Amino acid sequence: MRVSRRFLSTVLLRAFVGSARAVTIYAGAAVLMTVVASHSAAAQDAAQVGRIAGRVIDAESGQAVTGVGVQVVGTTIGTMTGVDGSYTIARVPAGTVTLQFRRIGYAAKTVTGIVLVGGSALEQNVSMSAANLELTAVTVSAAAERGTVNAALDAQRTASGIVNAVTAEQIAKSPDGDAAKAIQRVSGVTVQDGRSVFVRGLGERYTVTNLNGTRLPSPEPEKRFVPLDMFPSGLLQAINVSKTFTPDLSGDFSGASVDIQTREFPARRAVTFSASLGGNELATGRSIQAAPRASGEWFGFGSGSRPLPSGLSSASSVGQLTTRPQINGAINSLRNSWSPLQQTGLPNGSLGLSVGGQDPLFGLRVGYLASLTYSATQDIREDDYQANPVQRDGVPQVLESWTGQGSSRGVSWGGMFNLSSLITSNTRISLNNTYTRSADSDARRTAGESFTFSLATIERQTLRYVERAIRSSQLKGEHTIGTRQNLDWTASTAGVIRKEPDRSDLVYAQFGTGQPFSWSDGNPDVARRTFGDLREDNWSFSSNYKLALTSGVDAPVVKIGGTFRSTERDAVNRQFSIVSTFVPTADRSRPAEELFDGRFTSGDDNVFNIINVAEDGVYNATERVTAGYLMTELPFGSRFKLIAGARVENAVIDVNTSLSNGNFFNSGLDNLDVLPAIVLNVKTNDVGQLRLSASQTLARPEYRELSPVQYLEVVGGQITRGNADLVRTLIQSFDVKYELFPNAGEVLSIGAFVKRFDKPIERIDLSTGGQPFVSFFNAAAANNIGVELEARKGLGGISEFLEPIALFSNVTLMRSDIEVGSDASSNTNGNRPMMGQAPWVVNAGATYTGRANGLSATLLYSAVGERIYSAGTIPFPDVYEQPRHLIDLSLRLPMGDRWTWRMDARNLIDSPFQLTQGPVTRESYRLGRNLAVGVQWRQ
Amino acid sequence: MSYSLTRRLLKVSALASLLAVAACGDDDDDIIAPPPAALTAPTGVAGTSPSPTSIRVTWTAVAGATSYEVERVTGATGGTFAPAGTATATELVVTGLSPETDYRFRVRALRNAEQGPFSTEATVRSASRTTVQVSADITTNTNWTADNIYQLTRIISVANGATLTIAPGTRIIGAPITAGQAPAVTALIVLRGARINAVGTAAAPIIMTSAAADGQRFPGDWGGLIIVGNAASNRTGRTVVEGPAPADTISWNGGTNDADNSGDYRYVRVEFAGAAAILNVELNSFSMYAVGRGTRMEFLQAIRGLDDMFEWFGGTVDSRNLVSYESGDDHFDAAEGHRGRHQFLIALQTGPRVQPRPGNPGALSSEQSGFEVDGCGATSGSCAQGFNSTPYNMPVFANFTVVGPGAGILPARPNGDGGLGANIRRGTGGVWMNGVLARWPEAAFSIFDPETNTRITEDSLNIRNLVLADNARDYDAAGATNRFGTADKFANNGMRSTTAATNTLFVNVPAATVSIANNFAFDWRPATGSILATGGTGATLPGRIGTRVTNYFGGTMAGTTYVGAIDPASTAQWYAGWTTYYRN
Repeated sequence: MRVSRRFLSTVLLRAFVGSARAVTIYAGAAVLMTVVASHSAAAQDAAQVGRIAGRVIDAESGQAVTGVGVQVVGTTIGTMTGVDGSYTIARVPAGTVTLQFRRIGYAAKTVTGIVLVGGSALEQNVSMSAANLELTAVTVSAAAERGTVNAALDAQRTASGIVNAVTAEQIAKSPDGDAAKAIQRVSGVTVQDGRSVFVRGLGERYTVTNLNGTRLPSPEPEKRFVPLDMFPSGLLQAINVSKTFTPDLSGDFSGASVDIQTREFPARRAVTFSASLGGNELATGRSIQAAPRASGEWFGFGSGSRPLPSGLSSASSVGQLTTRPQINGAINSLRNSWSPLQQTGLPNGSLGLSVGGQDPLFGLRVGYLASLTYSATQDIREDDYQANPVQRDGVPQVLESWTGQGSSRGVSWGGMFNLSSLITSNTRISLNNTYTRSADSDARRTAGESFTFSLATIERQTLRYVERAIRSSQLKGEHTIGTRQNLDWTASTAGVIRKEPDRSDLVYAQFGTGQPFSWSDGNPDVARRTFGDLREDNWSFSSNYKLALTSGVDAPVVKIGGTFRSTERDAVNRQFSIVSTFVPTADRSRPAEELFDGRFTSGDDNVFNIINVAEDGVYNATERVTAGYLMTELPFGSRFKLIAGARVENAVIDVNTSLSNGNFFNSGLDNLDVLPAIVLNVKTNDVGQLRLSASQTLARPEYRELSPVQYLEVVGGQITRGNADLVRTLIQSFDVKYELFPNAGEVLSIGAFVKRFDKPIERIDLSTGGQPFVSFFNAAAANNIGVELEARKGLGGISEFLEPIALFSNVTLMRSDIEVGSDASSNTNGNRPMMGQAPWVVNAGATYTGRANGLSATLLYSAVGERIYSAGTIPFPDVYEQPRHLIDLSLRLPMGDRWTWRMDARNLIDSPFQLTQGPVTRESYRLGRNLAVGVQWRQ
Repeated sequence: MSYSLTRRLLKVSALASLLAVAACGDDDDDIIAPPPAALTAPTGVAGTSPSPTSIRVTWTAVAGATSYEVERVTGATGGTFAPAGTATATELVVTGLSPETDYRFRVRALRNAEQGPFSTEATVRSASRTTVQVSADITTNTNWTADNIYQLTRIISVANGATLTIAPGTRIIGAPITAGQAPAVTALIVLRGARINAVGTAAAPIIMTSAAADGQRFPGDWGGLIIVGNAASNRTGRTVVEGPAPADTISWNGGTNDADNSGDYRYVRVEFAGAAAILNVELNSFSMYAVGRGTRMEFLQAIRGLDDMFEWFGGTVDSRNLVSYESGDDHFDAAEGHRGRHQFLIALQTGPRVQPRPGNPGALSSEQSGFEVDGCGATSGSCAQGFNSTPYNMPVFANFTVVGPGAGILPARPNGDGGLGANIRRGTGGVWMNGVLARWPEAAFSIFDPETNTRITEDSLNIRNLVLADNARDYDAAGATNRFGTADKFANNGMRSTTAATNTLFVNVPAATVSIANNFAFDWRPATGSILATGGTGATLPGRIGTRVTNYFGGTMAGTTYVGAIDPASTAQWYAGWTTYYRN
């Protein structure tokens, strides 16, 4: 610890802040807690004075309140809040201080009992309520004020529409290491394949992802979603899931808008360091199938050592290989790596560091936050089983099956650097920068009898490495003009990459019972190499102007704004198959690494050929979205508020698919849509609120879905065909929700929703006389209805003994049906639930927070009802993902001021992942229990 | 030679009798007119080619001639002259010629029965054909003539109920996949309700081939001929044509008219077809999707296709006289409820294998067979009752000669060398009779899946009077899982087996080790004493087979006493003249 501390204070802190009086070292799991370290600006009279800083927000809306007079009672010291509601008072005499806050339209508030130690700084945030007819001043204690601020900042309570959120505080108490795990705790949200978000059972097509309010591009080649596991929870302030549309949101919002908010800078300088260590019971320290390592993998830069050989890089490369030496050279230029190795599974670990605060720079007070996190994980798929069905005697039976093991070694790291400053008291400028990078190195080895190989036993080996990165920079300005006008603007740029370099797929067969697994001569389907590379960049500019028509808190408000967003994507997918003309029989049982070590690929050897697997594989796309909106917020009396308006949005999508012969396919769409929305909020009493909302939104096809050629999916390898005739989907949504907020931190709500989809895009299976493929069609219509229940309740009201315990749960019940329609008639059921939609989603948990020792414990449960994983083709029933019951436990134990121990146990009952199709299990595996421990040290 | 000698003898005898009549009948007139001057040879013989299939021959008049006789021979040298026609004027338009070909002509004068000497020979080349780029679908009735070469620039549909009539000798080409236009694959596809009437002749077959030059062509250079009819199949749901866009938007299941007519196809050769835009998604040389019995298909050849040569998906169309040389996959594939009858089939597979063009996503199959016949082929859905989907797949194959490459050519398979004479699977029924499966390196027969075995026990799958010659084994590997072909099942079906070398069975078919030369003249007749000459069913077809072969080409499919595609007693072979063999 001594070493750590010296290292930190000399290197890292100097680098970030120049000087540091105090350092907090915190060791725990991936979640970073901000720990405040004290700092004094003036050494001379450090013992006598201190500094108080904070923000003033509206108790109803959570919005900043500008122009609030702040005064230290009993002195002449004071200041005014700025555009963001923040204030700082330097040189406040030490001792117990009382602050008074005043502004026209608000009830004045006095906060007592603020204990200021000489030479230190502290943060005091305050909420203010609109003045009623009688101008009653309010006096509260500093401690009590904290609760009301929290309540005001609760996005769920203060949003215009229906929002569910998970906050940094909740994440800190859970074992959730990234945003994908954390967002599962939100009502109605499920996460598929560990990264893509389904809200209310609607697929990634109907969810958009923003970072601090601006759209993130998608790094996925075939679907449009942002893998949320790329955001370490240490960077997160909150994840807000908006479920109803208002015109100031993007129009392709249809199911939900996920907004990832990165952490805000603290009012005072704070430094954090964290680390953790743990393991998976089935992987760590055990001998497992794992991918051979390549350099650069530890930081997610392994693609550099898996390059696409230059001789194969262009679409026409293979066609230009005319001589045997050229063909052999091309084969030799591929890395000679085909098989997983038996390796010892690694532990899981994470590290984190962040520095933040507010300090003067060129005469301006600048808020800053810099944060870095790193984690490495070892995942496993134990008892990995897959099967394909055949219809016999009227029921599906197993036709062929494989069992084995898979593993995945992942690294994820990210950082952010946010700056913010009040240029004048009316103008705040902030700059947010975020970068995350992740890499997964997967290996899989399974064996079983294969129908397509004449019922021979085959062994399949796959090595796969996927690397993703997301960068985002946002420059934001906020201005107040007089007392009734606000203007803000944001210029942002973001980019993603996804590289899947050099995947290898190898199939060896047993030529006779008891024989070794061997190379299948002349078979074009036994040795594949795949290179995928995708980048997508966007930039956008948006601005909002808000005018209060009268003064006062309940003034009618008009908002207008506009957005322009430009997105460009380039994707390349090259696939090669190596096929032999004749490998000597005696050599066929050699491992692939020996067959391709040059013994058969030198000079004029005529043993192997390399062929293109598909003629196409390169496409690019552009999208330009221009939008403007007008909306009003009209209060009627003190209890009703009507929000109404419309958004006009034009989107132009252009997709260009290149074929290997140098020709192109162009496709795209150009739509202008008017999207109205109306929301009525009714305050039924002091703690109750009723929201009603109706809106029209849309969902556009994913770029590649518009490309009218067959291609092999990068993910899954399925033959897929786009459809240039796709049109965008229009969605009408109706929501009603009643919420009670009995006490701070408590909520009880019930809501219902109805969504009607006009021409939803569905993925449809098509048969041919040979290879089946999937395509995309506009189905006739779909409906999605459901009920959401949420409760969060402390047990203190029942008995004092139970006071440290709080319970919470959310339950979503839903139903959907899709009419595929004759136009898109397929081999799937014509009438069924939408893919991915579960009939129920349950989250529940209990927290215990000990008053004496500060011990906190959180027990979490989540489960998702059986949901369609893929639609079955006639005569097979649909493939369902069976419910998996997840139980996680987290403990936090502070030891004095400086230490906190931490323990996280995940997946405690290790319920298997299972896909079923009628009586046939199509896929199943276990992920194993995870345990991590950490320690926190604080000075 | 014998022809012109006979002619001369006839002429001489006619002259003699004329003189005799003159001598006997004209007693009163003693004055005999002086003989006219002898006819001279015509001079100035020349020709022009007004069209690629015709040449106008002209010459200078000969004194005293009443008419002229023109003879021609193909080629700049050699050959034997044969009459091309007679003319009273000094010109003759010779038609029915091959384009871009040298012809030699000679002319002599005639005076009644008197013949003058021949002129000197004149060599004339027939005109080149114009290459017509076909880039639009054919939606109205259209004629394609032998004067043009039709180059497909993409997948061209004959749609909207239109009929495309293709004259004998017409050549249709598709660009090689690596040099074509988007989409890279070219093909000709007849949609449901439309027709192609492609009636060639043995002398002038219709040829559909790669656009690449002779010797530069590869399997899979272009797509092939696809016909989509309106007969029934056993698939449900949305089932479309396999292949790249826009073929993959065309549904072929759900047909209702087993008597549907998609046109007339005779003397048609499809070469170097089977293009793939994605590995394992290949077109076939002849793809027949739900084609109905009203369609006429005779004298068809596929050569060097990358995928199957003749594939029937459902439907009822009959055919006869099919030739398949050198497949990249299977020679005859019938599945998805096909109920057509097919007689007189020749298939040959040899080595070395010809790989597709470098850069082409296609590949030779790892499972090549003579026949691959599936009841309902989909394992991933759309067969409503799985392998028992109805209507059952019930093709009839009679009088086939299906010869494999022998050992060491095809990819090895888990049970030994690959290459099955007949791979009968997935619940198919049908009839195989009076045929020979020879030289297959894995086995002559494989009967796979319990459902297919059920077809035997319920008498829906009849295999009889076959010769299994020179195969690694006659039936499936003994004891292999899920295989049901065993000799005892067919013990009373007139099955015969021989180890005689395949080349000894026929008059002129090379041995397995021989790399066959271009334009090789096969003689598929049974050699003297060949086991194939006898042992057929005879005219009376046993059991239920007779009822399955009625209404076949206006009569009933005849049972034969011989086995294989060629009657040993035949003098002219049905494949002669219009079929061909080459490597590239």
